[in-house]
Amino acid sequence: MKKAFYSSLFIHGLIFVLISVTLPEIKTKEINYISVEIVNEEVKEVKEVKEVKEVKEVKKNTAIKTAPPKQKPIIIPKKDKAIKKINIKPKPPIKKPKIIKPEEKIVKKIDKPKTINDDAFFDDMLKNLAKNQPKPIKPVKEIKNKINNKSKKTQAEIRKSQKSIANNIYKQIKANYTLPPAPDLKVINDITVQLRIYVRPDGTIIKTIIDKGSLKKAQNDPTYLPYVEAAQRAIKKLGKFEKLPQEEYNLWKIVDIRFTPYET
Amino acid sequence: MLKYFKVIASIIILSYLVSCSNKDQDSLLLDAEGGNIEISSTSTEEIEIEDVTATPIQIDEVALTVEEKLSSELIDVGDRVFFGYDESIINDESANTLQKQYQFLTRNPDISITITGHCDERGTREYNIALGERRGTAVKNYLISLGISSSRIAVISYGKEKPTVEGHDDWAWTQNRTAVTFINSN
Amino acid sequence: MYNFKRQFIKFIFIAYVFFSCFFMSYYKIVFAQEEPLRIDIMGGKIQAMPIAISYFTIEDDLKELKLHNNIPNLIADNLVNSGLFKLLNRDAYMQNPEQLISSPKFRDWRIIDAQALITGNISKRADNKINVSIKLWDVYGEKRLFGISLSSKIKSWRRISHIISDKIYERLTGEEGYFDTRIVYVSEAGSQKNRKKKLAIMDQDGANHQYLTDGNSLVLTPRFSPNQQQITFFSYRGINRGLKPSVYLYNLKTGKMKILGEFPGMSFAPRFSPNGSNLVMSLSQNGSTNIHIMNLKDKQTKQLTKGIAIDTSPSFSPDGKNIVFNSDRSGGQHLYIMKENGKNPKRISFGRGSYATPVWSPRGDYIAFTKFTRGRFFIGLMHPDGSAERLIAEGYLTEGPTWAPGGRVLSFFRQTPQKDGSMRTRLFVIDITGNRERELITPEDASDPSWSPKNIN
Repeated sequence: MKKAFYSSLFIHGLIFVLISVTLPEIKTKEINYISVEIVNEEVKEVKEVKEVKEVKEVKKNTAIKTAPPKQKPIIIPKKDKAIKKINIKPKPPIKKPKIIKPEEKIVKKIDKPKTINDDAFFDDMLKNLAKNQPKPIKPVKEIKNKINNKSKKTQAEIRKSQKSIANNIYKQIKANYTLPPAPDLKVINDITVQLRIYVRPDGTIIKTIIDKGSLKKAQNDPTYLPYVEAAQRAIKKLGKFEKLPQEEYNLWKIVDIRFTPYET
Repeated sequence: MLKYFKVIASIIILSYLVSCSNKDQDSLLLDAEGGNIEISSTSTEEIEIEDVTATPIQIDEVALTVEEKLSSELIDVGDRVFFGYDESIINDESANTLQKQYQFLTRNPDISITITGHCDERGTREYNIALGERRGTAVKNYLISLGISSSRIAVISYGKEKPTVEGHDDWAWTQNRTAVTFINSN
Repeated sequence: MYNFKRQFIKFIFIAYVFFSCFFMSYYKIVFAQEEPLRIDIMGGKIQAMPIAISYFTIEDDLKELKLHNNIPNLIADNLVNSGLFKLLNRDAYMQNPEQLISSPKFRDWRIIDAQALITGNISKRADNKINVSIKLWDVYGEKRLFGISLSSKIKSWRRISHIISDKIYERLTGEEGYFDTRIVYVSEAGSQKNRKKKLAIMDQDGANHQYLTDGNSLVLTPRFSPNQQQITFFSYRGINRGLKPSVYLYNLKTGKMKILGEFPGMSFAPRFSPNGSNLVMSLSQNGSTNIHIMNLKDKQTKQLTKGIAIDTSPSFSPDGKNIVFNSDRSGGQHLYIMKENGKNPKRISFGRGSYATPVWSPRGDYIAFTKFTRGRFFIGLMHPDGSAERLIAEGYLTEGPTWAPGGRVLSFFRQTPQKDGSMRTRLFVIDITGNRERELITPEDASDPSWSPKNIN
């Protein structure tokens, strides 16, 4: 009886010590580690979904083509492994960093620089982790690195195509955008207009939604309303985008546009 | 008898004809002159017009009124002083002129004067009204300091509204930065 | 027992974390999938807004008045003269006025790139009145922006057109319109030494021109009352009868003129206060000129500036709390702002040159002035704190800015030497960007413009 008691106490104590020792690392580094994974996952997932939707040929490497189906099963067990570590953690720390990521994404403009930076950043982290992590983690890390490399390629390509699509859209909208009549130009910060458009696969713009802030401002300020109308007019006048790549429809399915008027 | 008649008739007729022709010639001349006059008046500007004024005019000696005499005396003495741009300072030359005005006013104790202040056109309307007033007052104060009673002197400013000289150059502007003394008519 | 429990808890824990991770990543995937592309459009083309103004429909027995052409033409003139709008050629209109009675076929107007369309109808009312109703359409948005209906006697058709122009201008630019206004000014003729000056008044587009005085005495610097049919001005009337040059009030309705008051010296440069109850002006005495304020009801006067300097050309801020004026107390002509009771004067202009004739915009955000520097005259703008000074118009003798309602457009006058040595003096209109300067048509030379507030009904 006593033996059982002491041994259970010992095991409990050991576990307790393990938690207290490993917990900080897990909090700061491992969490990030995990979220990077998820980003990669998304990218691949997106591609997979695209392939499912579009019947047309995919330009990308066969390597990537084949990767997604395999990765899915890989990801989940990895998660398990990761989760085992997480097990010990309390839940809130996991969620917070994940939530931060999407917000950061909103702030960005055309491309996704953060992912690159994150990769580099987390590479460092990974290295650091490598120093501190107990051995069993290593095999997981290796797999993680492989996946990182693959996702980097696709990310770069995605960014590239996003950039060229963005340029294309920019040109087409700008060609149809004229400033409203005004005897003077207000301070630039005052007259930016934010809106979102939804586009059909053939390029037709089907819906325009003005950002709430812009709408409210237009209701209160009659000198701001013409700028909102000018932005709407630009969209209506264009009506339909030409020459956008069909196979990357998901990249331009929804477009957030910010109009910052000033004299050009 | 008949022969006599014929001779007289022919003489009469001839003389008539001659006179007629003369007339015609006269009238022709006139026409020619008339024609000439017309042409000369339209062709060039330099001729006839001055000639019209050359016709002598009767000059009657009209006696100058007392007022006119005094005014011309004042003008001889010096009825105006001049100022620098945007200034109302009485300089030495002005002081000299005002000294003479003072003497004139002392000689004629019954007259009162109005000093008008003026500016050149290179200033805004309202400020120039004020500046003209300042210039007129400078003259008035100087005369008072010499001994003229202030009740004899009034000041009006015309700003840039009534330049004494037309023109848009330095000379015109200098002439227009002035205070002019006028004798009040009673 | 322990083990089982722990295992069970571990299992639940793992399962929970797993599922939450899964859902989160799924959410992220979905979210990322729909994450929109972000575009920034910086800058935009500046062009006059192309608009179409159709002729109106009109009742048959009014047709001979031609108002169905004249009213839209006048509206077009107003909008085009502002420089902000371009009228599309009527030859290109695909729908005629009758077809536009209910609702336009927007596609037909998109084709000619009309961004706005104006349609209207004129009908008869009792006792020689007409009713004009118009609609303003958003062509690309395919909707009606607003409709308005006005009625008046036929002879006031120009005013109806101006009021409609104001409403359209206000809706499309967001700024206050200035078309239903008048300009009072000094009409000049004669030699430089002997100028004959008459007070004159006209609509802002030059129509309905009238002389108010006969030119026998010099008149200068008129100003409109903010809330009454009244003008104040400075005149040399009666100086031959011993009157000093003084400030007068002129009632536009009755045509009656009266002298404001008797002062020991000259009184000039009169302006109304924003509430119309007071008049500020300059009084000169003994070489110094100071600003005084007079209550128009009880004629009580109070001195606002003191000293031997020249303080003149005052102008109230639109809220009536401050006065900007021109003073040479520092040695040169500069602009100062003081409280409406004369306290705390402080200088706001510091550039090289002379600053004069300050006028506070009706929006309160700008002060316009005349600047003379290095032999040249300019019309300039600055903020009430003296910052952001910029010069928007130039000319040999260019001065006397006055603001149109809305505070975005100004008028001033300019004397330009002609080839034969004579001077041509005319009124001009310009907007605060310095663009769209144009000359106003007047029968003679013109100076000292003062823009009225919006006409009172």
